[in-house]
Amino acid sequence: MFEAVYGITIVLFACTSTVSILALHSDRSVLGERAQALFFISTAGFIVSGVVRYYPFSAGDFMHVLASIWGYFFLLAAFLLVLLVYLRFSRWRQYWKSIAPISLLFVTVLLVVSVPFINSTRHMQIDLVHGLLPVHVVLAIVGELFFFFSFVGGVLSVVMERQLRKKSSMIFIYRLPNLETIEKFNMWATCRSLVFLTAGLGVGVVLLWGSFNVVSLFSLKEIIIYVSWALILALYVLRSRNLLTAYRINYLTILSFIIVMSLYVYSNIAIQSGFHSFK
Amino acid sequence: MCIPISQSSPDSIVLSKMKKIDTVPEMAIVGMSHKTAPVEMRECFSLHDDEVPRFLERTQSRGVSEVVYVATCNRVEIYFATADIPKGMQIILEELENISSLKHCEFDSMTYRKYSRDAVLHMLTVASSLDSMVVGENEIIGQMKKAYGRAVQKQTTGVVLNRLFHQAFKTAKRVRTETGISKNPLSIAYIATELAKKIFENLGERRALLIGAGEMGELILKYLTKYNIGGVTIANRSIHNAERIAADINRSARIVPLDDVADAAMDVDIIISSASSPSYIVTEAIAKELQKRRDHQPLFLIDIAVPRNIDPRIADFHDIFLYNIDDLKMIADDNLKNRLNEVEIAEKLIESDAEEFYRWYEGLEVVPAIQRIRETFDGIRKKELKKYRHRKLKHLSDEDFKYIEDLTAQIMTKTLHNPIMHLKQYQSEKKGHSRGAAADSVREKTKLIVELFEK
Repeated sequence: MFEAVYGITIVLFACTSTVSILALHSDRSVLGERAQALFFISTAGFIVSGVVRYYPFSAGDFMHVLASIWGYFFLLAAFLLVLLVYLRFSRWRQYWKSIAPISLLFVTVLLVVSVPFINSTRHMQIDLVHGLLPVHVVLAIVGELFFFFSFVGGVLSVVMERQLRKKSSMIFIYRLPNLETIEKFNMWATCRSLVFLTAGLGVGVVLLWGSFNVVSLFSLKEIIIYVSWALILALYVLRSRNLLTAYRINYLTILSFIIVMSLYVYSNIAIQSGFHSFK
Repeated sequence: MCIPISQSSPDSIVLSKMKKIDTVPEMAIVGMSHKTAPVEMRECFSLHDDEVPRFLERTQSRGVSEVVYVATCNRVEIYFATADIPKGMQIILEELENISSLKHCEFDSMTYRKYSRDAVLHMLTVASSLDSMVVGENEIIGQMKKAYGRAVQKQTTGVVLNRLFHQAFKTAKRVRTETGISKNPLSIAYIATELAKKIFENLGERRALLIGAGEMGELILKYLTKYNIGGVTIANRSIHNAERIAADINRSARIVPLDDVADAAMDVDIIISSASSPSYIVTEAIAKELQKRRDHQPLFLIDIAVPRNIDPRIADFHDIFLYNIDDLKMIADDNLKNRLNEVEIAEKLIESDAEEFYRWYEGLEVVPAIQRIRETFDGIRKKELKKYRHRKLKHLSDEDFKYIEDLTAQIMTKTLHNPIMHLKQYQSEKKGHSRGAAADSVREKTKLIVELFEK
């Protein structure tokens, strides 16, 4: 039952991202309406999958979900959907149509990556039982997802700049936000990413210090998080001080996100020993 | 020598085959556009705003039940609806002769006439700007709304034209929103302004520098001013000319001599160059200095001068967007191509909307018949009830008599249900057979049903 619902949800998300990309590309209002309807249906499918898998769900189950590889990716996708809905009502709502297609594609990728681990028995051993642990996890995930949004902004900016330099039809230019707005969105996302990730790491350090009297156990996953934090900090400094052209910073953002995300996925799937890993 | 209008109609065959309805007016259009007549001819039929109401009143008083006069720089069209179309057409043509002081044979070959479905389709096409000189332009809908408003004010519209114009406005909106036909600008000045809006978030926080006093440069500056550009600097050889531009476009503009361009460029975000100069005015060195000072903030350069005023190598600089006249022209051509690609989609929308309108219109044909049958039966029912109320049903209370009234009304509705359903069915069978034997047979059946219930 669960496998069927989850499979349908993935197919729905794949359709939603395809239709929303097509809607952005062709600017057909019919496609836009279909993408919106598909978004609601696939989100409903996503919620049903979670309910079918974990019903009845209690507050304590959060860490249990997170402790499985599948649950980890599922939660990542869930947080991304929540942030996407937040963006729909935020000051960036008029640019949502440009942001959503890439985000929905990423949700699809996360769900596809999780498929082989639906019945995996590998679990993260949670040695720390502390009320701050969910806070640490949520902050770190939200921080990484804001980094994803700055990646989305980077992609939009690069596409927009290329379109402007191409000097051909304005048909696509019209559908994207203006360059300055994209840059503001990028700065906004990078800033939040840095704040949430710093807070998440800070809480993690406090937890480790409280339990093991150390600030880090230097597991691969921790190192990757520290590397991504350093990259986000560097990008923030580059942006806020205009040390490079926007075009170059956006390329760096795209590259950094791809590297960090690849390492992140790899560390969760392949590493089977040490702290933070799924054994 | 001209043949009289009544004998000269080229559409006599079409008109003779058209349905004869007693109560529902038929629709028609007579007009001329940029495709059929030169401007010298079109302007002969263009009425001044004050003359339109008189024209509408006169036409209506002569027997055309509904009439709307539309005149734009591209077309003059008269939409009308009347029960007797040949007579209506004759009246309109005579009125056109009066307006233009021309004999109808002098303009006949340049006019087009459309009836029924064709008229609906034409009107929806015009309103959606598919028939305009610049496909996708937005002005036509405003002009049609104005023309319709004038006719409404003069009460020269009725059930048919009211619905037709509302349908046209609805379709035009659909075409504008559901296709990309109006989305890509075609004028060079407007394209430049739109590009600026795609680089900068708020033009109100930006400054523009106009180099030279070329006409196109002025036009771009005019557009930028329309979008509340934050500040304007004009650099020109002749200070007098610069002052004239400032007075025309932006009174708060700063004026500098052409030699001070390098300094003036340092605090602006948009440079429009249209000066006559044998060498580059904005050189690579100036651009490098600008880039350094601007802290990687984007700079938008528009070079519409020939020979060019801005060194083309600057186009390779990061954060600087340089467009010359050919680039803008290329975008305009591409935009036009894209608009034309949307025409097919727009046509499908128009066809489906025209069909929807026509379904409603055809429905009008049976409405009077249904109404007449109902009225006849209801009259009999009420008359008999009244008679009985005063004789055999005197003893009943008002409440009880109300039951009998309701009962008879229900019996009447149920008795009439089948004939009315058949009428509606014949009406739907008639769809797609507006002409020919099939349509005649349906019309005969409809007539028979109506006659069955008439006294």
